[in-house]
Parts: sequence; C-alpha cells; structure tokens
Amino acid sequence: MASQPTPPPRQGDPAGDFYSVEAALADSLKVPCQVMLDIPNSGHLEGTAEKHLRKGTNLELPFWLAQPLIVKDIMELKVPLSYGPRVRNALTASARSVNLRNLGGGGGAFYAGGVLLAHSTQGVMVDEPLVKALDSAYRERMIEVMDQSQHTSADGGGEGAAYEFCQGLDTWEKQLFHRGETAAKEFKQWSEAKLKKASR
Amino acid sequence: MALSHRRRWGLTPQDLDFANQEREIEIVPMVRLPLTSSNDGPLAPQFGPFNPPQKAKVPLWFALQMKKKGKCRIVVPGWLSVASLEETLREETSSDDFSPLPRDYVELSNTLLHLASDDFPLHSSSDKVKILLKDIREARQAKIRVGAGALNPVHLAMPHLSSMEILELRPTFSTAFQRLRELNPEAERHEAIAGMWLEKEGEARRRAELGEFERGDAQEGMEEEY
Repeated sequence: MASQPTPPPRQGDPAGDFYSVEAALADSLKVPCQVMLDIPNSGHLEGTAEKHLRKGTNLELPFWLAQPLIVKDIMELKVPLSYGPRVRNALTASARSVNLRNLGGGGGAFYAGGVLLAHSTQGVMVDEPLVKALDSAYRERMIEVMDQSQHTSADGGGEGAAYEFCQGLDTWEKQLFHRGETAAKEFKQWSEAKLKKASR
Repeated sequence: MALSHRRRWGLTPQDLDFANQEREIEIVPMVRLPLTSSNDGPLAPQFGPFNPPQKAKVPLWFALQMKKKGKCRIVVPGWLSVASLEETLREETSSDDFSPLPRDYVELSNTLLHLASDDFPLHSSSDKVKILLKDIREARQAKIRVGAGALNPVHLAMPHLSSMEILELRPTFSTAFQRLRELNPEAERHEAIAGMWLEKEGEARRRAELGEFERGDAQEGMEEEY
C-alpha cells in the first residue's frame, strides 16, 4: 500500500501565512546534521578552511537548507536540543512553566519549527512523539493564554505568575493572545461607547 | 489583499449592533397612523397601522427613532425582566449547558438599557437588570473557558451561544483551531475512521482488511487522546 504524502503543514491559514514574517522566520531553525558522504567544494558550510566537506562531519544548518539534503539522504538529521527529551519531559511535567520564547526556530517559533521538523522527511516518516508532545503542550498552554488575554485591561502591572507566563510565549501563542486581547478590548470599547452616547 | 487583518477575523461589535437594528420589537405607539410604506419602491417596508393603545411590531431602529421623538413606548421583552433573568441566572449557574437566551441578547439588552432605560417596568428597573445581565455574562464566560479546554482540531459545539459571544471568541478559537490542525493534520481522518468503527462496523472491518486505514493504525495511540 503506497502511503499518501502528508499534506505540507501550514496551508490555508486564514491569516495568510505566505506574507507572515513569523512563518518565514520559523524556517531558519538551526538543525544539527551529519554529512553522509564526501561533498567536494563545500567546506565553507562547516566554517573552516577545509576545501571539501568530509563524510561524518557534524554541522548546524538552517532548516530550509538542510531539509532538501535530508530528503536526498545527503545529510542525517539529528533532533535539536530544544526538541530533545529534556524539553519534552519538561513540557509533559508542566507545560505552563516552560519558557518557549528562546527555544526552537527564529523569533520564538517553537511550534512552527517543531512541525517543520516532525514533517521534515515530507511524509515518508512523521516524528509522532514530537507531534504528540507539541500538541498536548499547545492544548494545555492555550487555555492559559486565552484566560490571560481576556484580563489584560484589568491587570495593572507586570507581576506574578501570569506575567511570567506571558513573557515566555511562542509566536503562535502570542498571536492567539493578541487576537483574544483585541476582541476583549473591542467589546469593552463598544459597550462603553454606547454608555457615552446615552448620557449625551 | 485589500481586506484589513481585522476584517478577516470577523465582524466587529459595531457591525453586529448595526445588523441587529433590523430586529423586530414590540412598541406601544402614542400616535395614530394608518398602514404606511416608505418611498423606497414596491418592496419598501411597511409600518403600522398604529392604533394606540394596541401594540405594534416595528424594526428596532424605527422604534428607537419614534422613542426619541416621544411617539412610542418600547415594550421590554419578557426575558429581560428581573424575574426571568433571575431564573436564567439560576439555570446558568446550576447547569453545565448555556441557557437558551435569544441569540442577540447582548446587543438588544445593551441598546435598550442605554437608549430606553425608562421603559423598563418599575418592578424590574434597568439597574437591577444590568447587574443580573453582568452576572449571567460572567457565568457564561466561565463556561466558555471550560469549553476552550475541550477544543480539538475536528469540531466544537456550544449550543445557545449568543452572537456577541461568538464574535468575541471567533479570533481566538479560529486561530487555535487552525494551529491544532497544523500540529496534527491527520486528526480529521482519524476522527472519521473512529466514527466508522462505531457506526458501520462491518464496512470499517472490510476497509481495514483492505488496508485502507494503514496509516491510521500506525498512529492509533494518538487517536485515543481525543
């Protein structure tokens, strides 16, 4: 049975990911790889004075460059530390207390980077444990994000666990937070504008 | 795209309020008027006849205009009385479901409280109604919060949610929904397969033997989560 290719992630986003800076930044996630064969005239990738890239060399490449090479079996992908067992265990233990801001892809793109990584072989093999870890972490943190976004106007200053939590948001969560906050603000503005109109 | 980002997330509260002005509401007119149609051609809306003290039904915007000129009294709907709202609040706090308030209860109550507060009967003054509505809103928001925990990439049902509450939720929920789908693009397929096993076991068994679910079976562990 030929397996159907997994649809590429991030399609049909209502916000239009094509123009999204965050989505473009997620591609720049640095992934450690090992070279599977000698590549002539590519020593500059390693950053040394060597002319050729030797088999077995370890180097870090941005995801957009590494992915086609991984698919063609020129490189072997190694899971970056930010998606490794330590972070996964921390997320399982208490997803809300993990600071995702500086993990993963460029500009805090933890989930986006993770999705790219899990589907890096383009449907041949999906990293299920990683997807599962990201999914459950997102669900757990999402509720807190929604909660916090509704109460920003009541929140006087930056203090406490809620503030700490908001400092460690990933780009996806920040977007969620922003939209929730805007909706709450708009509702408040609308009901108060009515009040003004009535008192005139 | 010419549409602003804000517009792509849905309507604004003002839009909803504007649309709700077409809603019919009962008034007690203070002027006599035969059946009248406006000058907008054959399909023009008709108003009247007004025979005080008989009640009449007119669009909300028309009622508000007449009210402004002192030519009618708006009949506040029954569900907006203190007794009815207290009952609603009790229901809301004792049950897990949303109580069946009208779809536009937020917009209409807001409009009436601000522009026709003197039309509320004495035994259910607008101040009391305001406080009750606030309590109801808070109770409902708490339920929405619980509902958010059950958000999954396949479906979501919250019966009796009002239009304004949907409007407030739409940007966050649709974003979260989209992200959950990105995290787990196969979720819908899994749900369909699980549904088939429950409903049409024979067919599911046949298709499983043909190997059509193969990719689903490999990820069965994930399915159990939902």
